[in-house]
Amino acid sequence: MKKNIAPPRIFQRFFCWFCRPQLRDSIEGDLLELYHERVQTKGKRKADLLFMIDVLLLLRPGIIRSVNQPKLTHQNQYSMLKNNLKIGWRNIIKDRAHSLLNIISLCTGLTCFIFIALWVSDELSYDKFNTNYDRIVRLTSNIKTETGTRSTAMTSAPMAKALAQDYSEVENAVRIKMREEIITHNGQQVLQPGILMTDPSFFDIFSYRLDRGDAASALKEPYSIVLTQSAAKKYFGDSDPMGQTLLLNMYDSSGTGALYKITGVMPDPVQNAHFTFNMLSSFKTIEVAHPEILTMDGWGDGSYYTYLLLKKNVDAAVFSKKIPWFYEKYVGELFSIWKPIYTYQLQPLSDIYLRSTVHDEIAPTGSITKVYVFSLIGIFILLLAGINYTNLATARAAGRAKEVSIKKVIGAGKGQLISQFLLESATITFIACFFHWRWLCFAPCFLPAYRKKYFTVFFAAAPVVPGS
Amino acid sequence: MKKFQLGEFEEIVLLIIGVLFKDAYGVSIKKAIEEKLSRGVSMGALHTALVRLEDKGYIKSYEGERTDERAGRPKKYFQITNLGKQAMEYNRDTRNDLWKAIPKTAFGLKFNGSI
Repeated sequence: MKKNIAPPRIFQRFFCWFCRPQLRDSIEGDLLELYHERVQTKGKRKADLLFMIDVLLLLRPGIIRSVNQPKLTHQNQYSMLKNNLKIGWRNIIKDRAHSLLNIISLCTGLTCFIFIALWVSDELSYDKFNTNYDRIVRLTSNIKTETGTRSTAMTSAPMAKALAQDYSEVENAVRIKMREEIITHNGQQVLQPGILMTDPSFFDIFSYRLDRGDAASALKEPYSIVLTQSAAKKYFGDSDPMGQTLLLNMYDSSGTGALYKITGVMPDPVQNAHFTFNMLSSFKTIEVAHPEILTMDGWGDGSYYTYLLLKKNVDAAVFSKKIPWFYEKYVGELFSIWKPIYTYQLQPLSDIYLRSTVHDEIAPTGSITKVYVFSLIGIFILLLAGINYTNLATARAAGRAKEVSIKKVIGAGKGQLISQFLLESATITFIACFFHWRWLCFAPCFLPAYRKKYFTVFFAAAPVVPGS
Repeated sequence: MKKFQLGEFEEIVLLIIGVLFKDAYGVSIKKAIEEKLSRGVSMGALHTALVRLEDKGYIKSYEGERTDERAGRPKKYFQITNLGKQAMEYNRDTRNDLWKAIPKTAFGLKFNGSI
């Protein structure tokens, strides 16, 4: 007999595992004998298959050993488990006040922990919906004056185009300006916040899409506007907003407002982004109304946000080092006349919401320190809940000593007693989890409160005012 | 009348053990059944039957030689006990009685009926 011819090992072991010890050797012998014979007559492959089938067909009541193969005596683990559960439940009922305290404290601890965890994960999820998340950077400027330096998130209007032309690292660029304006509609004047003036490339850089209208052309013409679903509903109800106009007191020469044509409708923007908006308008509007922003003077007018989409495999940190001199190239002559010195840096999108240190943010930001502090608090609350539970259980231990001693006298082993108390704890935790889960159903009501930055405003020493 | 519980397959196994006499162990029984009755038998079915027969006391087993092709596992030979013999005889007798009790016309009638 050749050594290397053996049936599928895993099946042989499986058989040895499930077979009754008294039968194991003889049946295994039969199987092997048959197997070797089949290898001779039918070939190894078929013999293997038949062996597997044989093993599987042997898996039947007469052959399988009993589940808890007794070492000394036959034990019924199932009854014991049932009994432990019963005793655990009776103990909870017996000392209601104590159990209630236990469950409430555990439940509160868990709820706090989960809420904090939700908040933390929400904070960490900002801007991640962008498919180009790791390639988007924001241009920030550093202004050095005679009195000091100031870092700001704002830059001037001509920079985006100039950067895209001069540097091969830049794939696309977009400018953004956030405004809050009065809209006259149906004879009523409404203050509309969150009007974002931007370039058509906005849709290429950030992962927003249009429901209606063409993303490439919707923001091309001056005085065109794209509404979000909720804004469309607010002004036009159920009627079709496409092609209609809105009167906005924004970039109008007359002073009575200009008509903006609606060229698109988009879904409401996600809330976990470092800026949100209610409508988009074309940046071209600003260029038409104030042509001077694109001239040399415009370089000094830092009141816009510039975002760049870098090409793949471009290191933002390395590229950032090339930018400071950029300004000098375009406004070199004026540079010496103007007192402030401007330098520019790039800030990755991943740093904007939590790690930004610049002024004039487009919207209030969070802070990574707060995220760390809250995470730590959350972990401590969980730890406290656990310690508290242990404390309460220990306080009760003395009373349970009688029960334990009786059980030991009857013949309970150490393991059995441990499993009984573990099961009891598990029951209490399970109940606590259940109530906690009921609590969590309210979470959706609380999350918007997080988003509106009640915490941020409350904790920030000086509330950050959105860039104006 | 539950004196001798013996299923159809169990009876066959018992008979084959009797036929093989000194050479009745798992593989040989299986082969004999497959050969003589031309029906497939799985190891599982056979061994369950053997276990039950042994539990009922119709057969007894003893360990045989350990061969190389069995990887050193012993053969388990089976032998019919006295009780087993009684059960077989009882089974055969009841069958015979029943056969005799069938009226001769029964087959004929059935034959006519089918036409």
